[in-house]
Amino acid sequence: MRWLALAGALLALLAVPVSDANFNSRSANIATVTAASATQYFHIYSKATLPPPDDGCWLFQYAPRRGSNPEVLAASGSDRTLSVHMGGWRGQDALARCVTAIRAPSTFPDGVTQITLHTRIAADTATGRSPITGASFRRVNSLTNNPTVTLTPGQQVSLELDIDLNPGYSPANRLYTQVVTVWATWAGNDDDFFAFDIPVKVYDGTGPGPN
Amino acid sequence: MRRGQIIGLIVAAVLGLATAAAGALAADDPPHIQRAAAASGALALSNSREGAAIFAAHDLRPGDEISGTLTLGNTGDRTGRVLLSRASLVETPGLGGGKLSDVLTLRVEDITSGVPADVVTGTLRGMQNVLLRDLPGGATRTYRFVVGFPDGGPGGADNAYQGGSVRMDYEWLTEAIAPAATPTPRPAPKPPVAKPV
Repeated sequence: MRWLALAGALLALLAVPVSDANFNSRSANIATVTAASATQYFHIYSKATLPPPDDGCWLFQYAPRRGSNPEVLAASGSDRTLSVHMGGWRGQDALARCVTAIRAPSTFPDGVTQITLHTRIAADTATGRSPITGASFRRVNSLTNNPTVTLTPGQQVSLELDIDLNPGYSPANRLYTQVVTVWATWAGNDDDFFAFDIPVKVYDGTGPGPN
Repeated sequence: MRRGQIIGLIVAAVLGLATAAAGALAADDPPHIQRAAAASGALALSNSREGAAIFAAHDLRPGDEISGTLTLGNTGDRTGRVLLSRASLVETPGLGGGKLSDVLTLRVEDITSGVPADVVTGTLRGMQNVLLRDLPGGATRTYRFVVGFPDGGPGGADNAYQGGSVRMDYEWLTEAIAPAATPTPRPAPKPPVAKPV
């Protein structure tokens, strides 16, 4: 029976945990952050990327890249990929209709019921010149342009640009790039954070100009 | 079997059962206090949000600030040295290429006493390893993480960060502090032996 007692004592020893050794203990957590975005409140489209229904420009066509043959439209892409090349405008002083379409989503987040769109234009950084002299919004089925416009969910407007190269600059045949910024505000938010910066090229010459 | 042997067997069996019972009781601890390591009694870290998010901020805008808290505890009986370490940082740049980790601020506060005491303040990217106050056995500390998105001002200063996202994985590492060595007592000097006259 001696072996039974020994076995019992051994079992008891195995059940007692090892003590007094230093050992590392560790615990883990995560943390995540996501920033808000203008895409939650509006999108900017070219004709090719505008989801249906395409309301078109009512009485007008989407702005072409002036001087292109075959004719191509000035805007391509959408939102952050949107880019615009207006082509050659030397000797022209006019309003370019329907450069892009701007549409609000079917709902706004956080209980927002309407947004107001604004624009600003930056001069060409290389020269300080501004062939693009103005930016405005026009509602579908309207002939009235305004510097700001209010959108409710699902509404659409077009962005239109005043370009003045009459007379053009010296020397001629220069390509200018200006940034047209469109941003949204609403009640309780007057920050210009919710914005798209649209690069717009204008060629001070005839023909489509360089890319 | 002799009587003494039987008694020895019974004692051994009782010892083994008692130890097993203690382990079973430990498994019934409240789920929100998770033990990160099996306790020997020396040192064991508890975390009120073990494995979970300290905070999850969505749609952060310039000027916004969000926070999350957790309580860390030492359920052992040995004082532990505690290191807060950022194990990883993974992010997706914003629509304009801006990285949130470059501009977001992080402030970690010890709010155990009710009066916030700054532990570390800086950018989200800058905080990697922070040595915290030693945690005695049986003690708990509550920490608050505060993340801010500074407003860069008008003119589109912050637009590049739109839609950006960042995830941080943090680890709390603790090591038991070895107790001071107990000096070996010197034997008392022997009294002189009187020589017989």
